[in-house]
Amino acid sequence: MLGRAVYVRGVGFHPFGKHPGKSLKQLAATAALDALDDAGVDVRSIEAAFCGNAYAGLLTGQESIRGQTWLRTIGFSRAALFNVENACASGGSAVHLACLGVASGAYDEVLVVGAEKMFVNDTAKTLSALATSADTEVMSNIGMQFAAVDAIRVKEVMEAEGVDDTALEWITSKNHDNGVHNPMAQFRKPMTVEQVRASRMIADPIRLFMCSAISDGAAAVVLSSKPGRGAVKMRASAVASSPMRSRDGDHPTPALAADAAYAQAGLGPKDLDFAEVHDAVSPAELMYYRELGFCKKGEVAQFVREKRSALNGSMPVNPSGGLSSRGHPVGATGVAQIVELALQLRGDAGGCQVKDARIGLAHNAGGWIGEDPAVCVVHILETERPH
Amino acid sequence: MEKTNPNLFYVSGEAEGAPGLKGTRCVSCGAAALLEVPVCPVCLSRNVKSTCIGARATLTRFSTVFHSADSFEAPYVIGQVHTAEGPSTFAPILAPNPRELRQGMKLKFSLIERGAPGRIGFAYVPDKEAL
Repeated sequence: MLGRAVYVRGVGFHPFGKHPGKSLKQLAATAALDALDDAGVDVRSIEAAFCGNAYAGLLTGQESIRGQTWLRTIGFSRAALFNVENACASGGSAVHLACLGVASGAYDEVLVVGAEKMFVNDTAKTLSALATSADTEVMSNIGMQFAAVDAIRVKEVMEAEGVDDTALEWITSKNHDNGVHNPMAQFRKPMTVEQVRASRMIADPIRLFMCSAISDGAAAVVLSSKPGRGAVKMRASAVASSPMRSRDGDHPTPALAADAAYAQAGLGPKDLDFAEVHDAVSPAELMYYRELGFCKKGEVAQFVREKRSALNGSMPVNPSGGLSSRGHPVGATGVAQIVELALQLRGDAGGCQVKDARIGLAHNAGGWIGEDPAVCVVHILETERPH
Repeated sequence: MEKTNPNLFYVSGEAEGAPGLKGTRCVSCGAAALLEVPVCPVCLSRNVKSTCIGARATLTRFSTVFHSADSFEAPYVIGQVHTAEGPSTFAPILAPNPRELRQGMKLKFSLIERGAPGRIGFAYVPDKEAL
């Protein structure tokens, strides 16, 4: 990172799932207090807050000052607060801006909260809100839904890489098995490939159990110029927007963000010990294996066959269970990924723990425009604690 | 007449070559873009004019969707189509027999009634003349 060192000083969350008795404020406040307690800091020492959320305006009617309504309940006052909306990458984008705030020297201690409440007793309303994360002039009223977008993208990589449905089923089973040990996760039951295969088709080849669920939840981190438990340091924070393919070529948004992050960190994919990627549908991992550089083009089938992305593989991917197991409260997801990375690097990930994890990558994607995700955020974190 | 996506497509008579998608042609370099935009996406020239694109297209990939949305009764087919002018987009695909759909199939733009009487939407259908 350019500028001063930025550390993850504390992490917190409200478990993801269906929480009909809790408001968005309560979810966000729980995560924020958890992170402040973990960091050992008082809310009065927070100099700025960055709040990620995508759909509160559409789902709860709270269009403006979302973060202010959350954090006033925990005594936050006077300091700067910024509301960040960037579709499913709202959380990662909030983390990015917070990093810049600390790295620049403007702030020493900042709070990032990502939260979303998607169960509002009207599933159609929630699905309609999700659909607004594309260019509505182009994508509304044509029957498009994100599962279909992902289905078509997954088909492309299946054809190009020579992988079949068994790969999709294995990845889904892997992530659900990982999620069993994650206290943040919405689904904590193991799942066999046969169960995945038996679930109903949503948009071929994507089946129900491959999809991340709508969810209520919140995650928070305290970023600081001073290290906290495990001395978890930000090595890179990069954001990319959808390329103009007719001018920029065939380098997709995730690769653009990853390339920028690797350059910033002075690291490459081979230096990573694990990654959390944005598997809104679990088979999306297939794309990210090559777009984030975990393997080369043409090597995805082998990467899956050798189970390199398993928890005990050479490059564990989504040891937390990913979005398909953890759930996807949209504005919280990007912050939750940073929580997962920090817990891994501190050695606090319990049954999800990657052995000797020292460097991890988080990839958070949002929306759709043109031929690619509208935005991707990639963070790389490293622990400075002694071996 | 009400259009489902008034900024996305032309009905017959609204532009030369219509019905089709709303697009932009760059006078400087000739590149085409989806939607009416003020700048060429390739050379950034502002010397552009509105045009109809996508009257003909090629099916790149498609998925059968089993969950209804936007008044589309499941199962239905969504495809990624590559217009003859260059830009790609997603669109509903209508075929009497979806099993006949295949990658590389030639398609043509078609207006259809969608959701309510008199409400006009669109879909791509197999281009029998090109088969």
